[in-house]
Amino acid sequence: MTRPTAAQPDGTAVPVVRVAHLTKRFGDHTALDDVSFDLPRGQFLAVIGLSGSGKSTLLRLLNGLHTPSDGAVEVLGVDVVHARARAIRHLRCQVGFIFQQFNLVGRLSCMENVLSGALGRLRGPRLGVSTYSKTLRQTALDHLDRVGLGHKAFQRADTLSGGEQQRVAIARSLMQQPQLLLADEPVASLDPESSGQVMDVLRRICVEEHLTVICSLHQVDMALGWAHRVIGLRAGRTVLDRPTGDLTRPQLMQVYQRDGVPVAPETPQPDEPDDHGLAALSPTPQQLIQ
Amino acid sequence: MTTPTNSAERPDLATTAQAEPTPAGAATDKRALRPPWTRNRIVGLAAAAGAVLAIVVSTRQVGVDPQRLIDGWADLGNLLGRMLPVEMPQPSRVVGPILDTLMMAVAGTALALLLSLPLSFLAAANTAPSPAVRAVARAIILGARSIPDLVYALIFVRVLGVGVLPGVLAVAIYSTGMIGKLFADAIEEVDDDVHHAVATVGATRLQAIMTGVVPQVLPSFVSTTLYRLDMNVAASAVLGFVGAGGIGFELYNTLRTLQYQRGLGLALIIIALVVIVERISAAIRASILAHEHSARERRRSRRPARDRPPATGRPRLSPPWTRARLTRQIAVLSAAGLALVSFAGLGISPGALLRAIPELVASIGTFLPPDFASVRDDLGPAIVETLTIAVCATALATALSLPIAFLAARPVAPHPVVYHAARLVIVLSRGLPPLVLALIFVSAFGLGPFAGVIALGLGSIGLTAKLMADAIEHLDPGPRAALRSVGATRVQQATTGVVPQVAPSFVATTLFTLDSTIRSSTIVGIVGAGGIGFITYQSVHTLQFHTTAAVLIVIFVTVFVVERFSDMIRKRIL
Repeated sequence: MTRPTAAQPDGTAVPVVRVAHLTKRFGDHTALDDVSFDLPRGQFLAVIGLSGSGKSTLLRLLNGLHTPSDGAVEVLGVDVVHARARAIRHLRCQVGFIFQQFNLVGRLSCMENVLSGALGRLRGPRLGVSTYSKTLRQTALDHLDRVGLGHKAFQRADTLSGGEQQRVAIARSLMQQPQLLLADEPVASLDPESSGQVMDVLRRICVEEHLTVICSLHQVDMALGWAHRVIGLRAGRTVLDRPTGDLTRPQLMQVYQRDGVPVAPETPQPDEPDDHGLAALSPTPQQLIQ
Repeated sequence: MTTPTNSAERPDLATTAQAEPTPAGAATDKRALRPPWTRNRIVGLAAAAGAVLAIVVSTRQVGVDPQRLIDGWADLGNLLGRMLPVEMPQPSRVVGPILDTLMMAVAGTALALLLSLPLSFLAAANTAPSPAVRAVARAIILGARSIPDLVYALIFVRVLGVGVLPGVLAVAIYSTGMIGKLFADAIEEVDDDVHHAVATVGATRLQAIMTGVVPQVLPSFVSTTLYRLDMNVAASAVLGFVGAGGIGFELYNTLRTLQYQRGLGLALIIIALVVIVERISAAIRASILAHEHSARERRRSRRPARDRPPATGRPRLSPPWTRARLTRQIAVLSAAGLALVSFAGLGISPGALLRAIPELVASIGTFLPPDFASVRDDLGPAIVETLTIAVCATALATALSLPIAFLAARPVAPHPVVYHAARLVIVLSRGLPPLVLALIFVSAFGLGPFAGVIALGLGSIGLTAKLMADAIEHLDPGPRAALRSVGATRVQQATTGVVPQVAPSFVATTLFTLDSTIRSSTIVGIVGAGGIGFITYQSVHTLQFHTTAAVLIVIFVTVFVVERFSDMIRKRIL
């Protein structure tokens, strides 16, 4: 499993994510404006920008929660725009999602929370660790060990700190055996130390599992420190798309300009309209019509 | 890129990791794959086993067996057939009793409010003048609610004669016990700083309470009283069973004389009555809550109130007549007016009330001393039967309420139609007083505790399923969204994402149901559905008041013990 920790993964295979001329309008407001990029397997992409620059919209377009006004989205070879509801659901099983608010089931143990990541592959309801097979339990423990929380497996999730909860949430999404991990502001409600640990874990999995990660962020330094590549959005437009290797902090800071005037990268805004990212994961009416 | 492991970065993790090494590979099988046996887990499992044991023993005692259930349902089908087509009674014959029922509920609630206001302040730890006074006030409140209202009515009718007055007094005393407790709890939850701040300016104890406590508890007092009012409508509807006025008298006679078609008509009227009052009371409570909420919002955002009047030259020395104040005044006046109209309509004058009190007090003498000897052989089995009815009914209500609650919770319900159907079941169950159901089921299943279990079980769905559904609706939707994102089905989302989160509140609800069924199970015997109610009824009717006193003591102790028990567990788990 140990792959060379290459700064740039091989871009030879078919891209995991393919976005072409993607535009999304909400009424008069254009949230995303002609965004295009390809994401090869194993790349860690950070999407940065001010609140309202289109980061969350982009992530939601990628798993079919929104339908684009224009352009094309292809994820893991599935045409998200034209796929049927069933295909979208199948796709979502392969796409892990990390929420800003972790969204663990607080009264369940960490172990059971991680196990619940396998529900998409299992039939029937489950309650209690013993209702999952021994193999699954071993895998869950492995994932917990990888995020450094194996020793807290049977502790209740709501007794953990925010950073630890987010790492359990990552272990849960690993249980999905995902090919793509979408993280919507995963560290916005965490202190700097916990943020670093969470980003460490994300980066490590990305490299070890050769997993593709798209992570929206507020903090420029986080993007520089952990991502392979950064896309900067301003008012829905791509204003930056470069590997982190030859990127400097001042260059990155330019993303945070409003009409040419530099603005300090804001502090995380928990008040941002947030329906936990996927509050309405069932297919939208438009999708059902198509 | 070197990414140091987290345990190396954090010393606390590092030491734990060393203390409990969790190596991969060969040692994998030695890792714990099951949760450890913590004390909480053992206690929880023991409690669950105890509950199951209680249910098994109780069902055996009551004689619930599948064959009987199947036969019974067939009989019930027959009975329903005989109830159709519905015969609605002549309006002229029921309008009077319906009004009486409503007015009894209003008058009884008003009296209870008057009684429990002083009592609750004496019973709350932070406003009681002394611990001794507090203990006495708490004891009065507790005593008042440990005897069901129908038992009070049964006795008062014997002492004061048939009519609405005993009904109103029965409702008033029982409600005093119920709302007095809730009031006292609300007072104890008040922010003491405000109360102390008022006291520091040199205010007397009474002044500090009036200025520092009353404004804070007012909204909760109003909503408690309204809630009680709609419970009392259901209660008043059956007081006629024992001759205490209202529509219950009509219903009892109709069903006793086997006029099932007209009986169904009357039952439908009672359901409608209870549901309408419940809706009105719920709407008023919601608007009070909304008002409180918006006031708090305004305070936080420092925005001036919308209905602030324009500033005039002369400073005002009395509060302005804003719309909110006007509404409040009108509401208070019309509530007082409604209470007065009810007393007048029932023909209960202050004089009659005052005369009734010495009569009741004097009658206490005829109850003393309690005579346990005459019922020694019956009392034990009767109270055991009462308890088993309550346990079985609670189990039945919980089992039926669990699925209904999930279907009646908006975010979990599979379809709006299902949601509304489930909510309708809840409303119907709430609208039918348990005693009415018991009377119907006695006709279907025959005399005995089995009818009582079915009646109380079905009658409790309204309470149990509603509380459970509300608990589900108040859950954080985040974990459910996360489970949806891993591809979990609806059922999986519910079992993994909802059940563990609502488990404590479901257990609390079940204990609350037990609290309520134990009270009802002491009275269903009045219509022959088993338990201690039959002995109570017999002893009152044959004027053996010494025996009645003995039975009352047993009921009191039973209800008291069950309430303490359920309170204790609820406090532990919530």
